[in-house]
Amino acid sequence: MSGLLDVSIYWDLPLLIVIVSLVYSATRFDRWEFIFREAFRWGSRMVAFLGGIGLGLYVLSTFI
Amino acid sequence: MSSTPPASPTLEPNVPTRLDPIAGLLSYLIPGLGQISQGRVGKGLLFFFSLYALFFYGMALGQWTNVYLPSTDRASSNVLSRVINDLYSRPHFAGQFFVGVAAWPAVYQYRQYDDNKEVGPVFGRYQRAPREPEINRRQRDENKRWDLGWVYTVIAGVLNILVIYDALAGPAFREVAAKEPKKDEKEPEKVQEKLPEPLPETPIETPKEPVTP
Repeated sequence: MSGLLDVSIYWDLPLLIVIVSLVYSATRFDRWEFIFREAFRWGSRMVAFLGGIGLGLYVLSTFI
Repeated sequence: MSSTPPASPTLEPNVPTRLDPIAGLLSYLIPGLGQISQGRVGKGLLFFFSLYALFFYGMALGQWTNVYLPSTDRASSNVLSRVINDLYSRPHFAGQFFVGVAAWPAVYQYRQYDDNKEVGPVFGRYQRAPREPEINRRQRDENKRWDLGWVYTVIAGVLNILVIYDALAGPAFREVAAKEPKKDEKEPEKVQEKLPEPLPETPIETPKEPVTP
């Protein structure tokens, strides 16, 4: 297989991000609306952080 | 009629207001069980399914051979130093242990480990330390997902520490009801400000205009 399937370990990341965000947020708050809001915030931050690192590595490996 | 004001509907009634060690212990044994015992069933089920999904998904990624404690120091007679040395050789298990009973087979396998046998007495190969050549073969021949699996199991165990704390002491941020004054309480008497006494009225003499002839 080629293409995206070559980097198959990244397909396991969404589960990790969703569960870590939800569980962490549920230990911060007790009301569902706050839990989901905080989970969305943490999930977005993690995606942005990991995506930034991925983009940086891609740029480094492609252009430098 | 009751004189107590009705509880605010926005506040969660089951959040522990005191330390609840029994619930903390239950949440250690099975993630979310402490919250369920406190009446916070939704959160308990969220913790249960999330952490077990993460833990067993990680085990499946590692082909069910990445949760174990190797028995490397059989010569030492001191149990504590032996465990510490073995944990030093595989610190992953220090995180995995906190997922609760799901990691206890590894403890049993560690206790019953016999290097001359291929399988353990009760659980077989489940959570039994694999032999060195098998680990080397997996590292060499298999893909990265095998090595990624233990990360998931460790994260599940470490997250359960937060869940235990939530059962023990409640969520980190909680709502506080606004303090309402009791009906019986009288309003404190206002202290009358002492004003300075008014000065006596004195006629102000205005200078008369000079009469000019």
